[in-house]
Amino acid sequence: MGGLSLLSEIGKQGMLLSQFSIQVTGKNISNINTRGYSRQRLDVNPILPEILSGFSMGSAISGDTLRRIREDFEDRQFWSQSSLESRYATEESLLRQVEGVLPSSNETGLGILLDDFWSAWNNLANDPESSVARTVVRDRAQTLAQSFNRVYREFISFQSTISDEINVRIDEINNLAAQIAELNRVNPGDSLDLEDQRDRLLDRLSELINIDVQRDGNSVRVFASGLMLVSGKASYEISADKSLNDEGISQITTIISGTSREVDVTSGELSALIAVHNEDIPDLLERLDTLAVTIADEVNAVHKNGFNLNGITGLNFFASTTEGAGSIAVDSSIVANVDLIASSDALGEPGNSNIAKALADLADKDVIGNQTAGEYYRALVGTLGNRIQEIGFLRSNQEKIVEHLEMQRQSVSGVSMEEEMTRMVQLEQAFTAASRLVSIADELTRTVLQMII
Amino acid sequence: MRVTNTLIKDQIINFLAGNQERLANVQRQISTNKEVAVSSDDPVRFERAGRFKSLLAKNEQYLNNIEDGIAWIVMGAESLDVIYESLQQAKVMALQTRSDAVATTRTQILEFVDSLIEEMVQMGNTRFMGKYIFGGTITKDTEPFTYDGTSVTYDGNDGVLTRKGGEDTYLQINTAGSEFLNVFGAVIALRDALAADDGTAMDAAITQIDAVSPQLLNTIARAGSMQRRLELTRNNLEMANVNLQSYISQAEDVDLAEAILQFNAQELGYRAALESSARIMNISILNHLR
Repeated sequence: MGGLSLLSEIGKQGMLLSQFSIQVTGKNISNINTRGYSRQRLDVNPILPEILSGFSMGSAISGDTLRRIREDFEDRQFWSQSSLESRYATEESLLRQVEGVLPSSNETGLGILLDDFWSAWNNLANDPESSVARTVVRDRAQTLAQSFNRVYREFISFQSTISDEINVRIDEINNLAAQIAELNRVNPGDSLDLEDQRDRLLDRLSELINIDVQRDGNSVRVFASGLMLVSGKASYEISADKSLNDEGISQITTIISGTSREVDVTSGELSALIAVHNEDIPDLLERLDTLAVTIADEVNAVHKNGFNLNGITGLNFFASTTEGAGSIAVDSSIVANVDLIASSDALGEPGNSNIAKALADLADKDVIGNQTAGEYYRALVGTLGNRIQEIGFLRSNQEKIVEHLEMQRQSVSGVSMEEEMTRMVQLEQAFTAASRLVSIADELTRTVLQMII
Repeated sequence: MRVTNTLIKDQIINFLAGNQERLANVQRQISTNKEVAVSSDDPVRFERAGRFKSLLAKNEQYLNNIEDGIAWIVMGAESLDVIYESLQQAKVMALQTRSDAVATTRTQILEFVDSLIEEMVQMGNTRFMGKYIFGGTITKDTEPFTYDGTSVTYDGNDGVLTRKGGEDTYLQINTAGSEFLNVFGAVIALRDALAADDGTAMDAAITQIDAVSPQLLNTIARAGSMQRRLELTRNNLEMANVNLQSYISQAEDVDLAEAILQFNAQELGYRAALESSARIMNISILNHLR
């Protein structure tokens, strides 16, 4: 009798196994579009030898393992490369915004306003007796100064927007680290779905900051530039440390909260934000300051030697309080009275326009290094353009790399409808076969019982 | 490589996005007619276009200066011509008086010469846009020439007026009144001789007029060559501007024919990608399983 009941037991085990496998396949199919889902497989051990050797049966399923199909190596690759990609992408988009703030087009930029300004002096040189030409000089100078002021203000406000953005990203990083620590605590080894979830969190974390991930049993340790963010069920917060540099421009460093240990952020969105905040904008501001101060100083130096319509000499054209692009302004007395603009280098010669000429000539004079003011500005715009182009190039290369890695990951872990459906058909057939086994055992038993009667 | 559904989907999305981006790019170039609109499009070409535009703006200003200068010179030359005419008329009158000295005609001639002097002084005080053109740099408030009935004095200076015609080029546009102050002296000498009915003095005055005439002609000729120089510069600048405009266009404008060709190619690619995507998305094992 033992032989026949064994037969129906094998049939039952087979049915349960197929049923469970169909469940796994069904789960894979339902998650075909879930980001970060790794397909699951049931590893089956042969049932028969165990039973034949006469040991206790147990459950065929309990001895089998359900596992994620996933490559740890590919994950690491992906995290480090996608971290770089998001750095380049963020940096490119920030710098494009900077380019938008800087009036950089050849039609409306500061370069054109500068040309207009010199041109106004030239017109005054043609018509030194006129107060209309003086009014034009004053107005164009004011437009130029105000544009400098506006660009300066916009840069400063853009920088403070970035600083807010840095805080938002840091909050997100801390939040993610805490969630990862929490998942470590509940031990995701028990649940493949929780493990997927933790990997998704790591995906996002790697977009924000450069991370190193070490697997330790069922738990992960996360480092950023050698400093620990997550270890076991503990997470360590980072925070932004603000200071001002010598020029009074805001600088931000990232530290582990409550310590003075600085986190060297080398990639991820955070690094792009910090780089633009700490380097690109201050650098541009410094150059704009140089340009504004040079223009004001050069113009004043010439203007002071001139005589105006009222016969007064020694006046500044730009305010003496000009310290940079933010503070450049036309001298208030000249704003109030254009007759104070000097054009002559001798007293009592209304037709003498030597000062106005000398000021118009400044357009072609190398005033900053071996560059004219216009050339200096165009070089500044050109440098920014170059950088955007370079970053854009890096970004598109990196995008390809990450795309490729993502595909590799998909190729290993992704769900294929064809595979799962084929498997489903296969399992269905196995289930039918196993059920047939039970009914055959039943028939055989019945035959044996009939023999008794 | 194992190909999964998500992989195919991602790939389709990436390709289509790439296609769209390229299409949008070409479209932007065509509709703005600019290949280089901001520095990051092409820093080198952008810088070049900016430099040329700045040069063009300067040249436009130089052209302005020169047009203004030419008007000034023309005005001066016309006044000098009138002064020369008057001088010649005075001489003709003097010669007439010498050959045919009737007392009544002499009085009339005296009056005429007097009015000639007035007219010449008036010409010397010609103003262009409210400015005295023969006063050197004393262009306002003080008349260059004053005639008090016995002599003409010059209150201007020898200041040179110029117009900027290029980076280091300043072109003179004015003639200082001091250059032809002696013309008035000669005519006044004639007037005085007529008034005194002094034949010898009259002859001396005629000699004086003959002496200053070529000097005045010289001055007029110099004004003419100033004008010529300005006109030459103007022609050069205009030619340069035509060139600059074509350089600017080369630096930033799009080659429309090429862009449209590219647009068509991209469009074709995009359509093909859409078509093939639509087909591949419909293929599934599910269509074949009962």
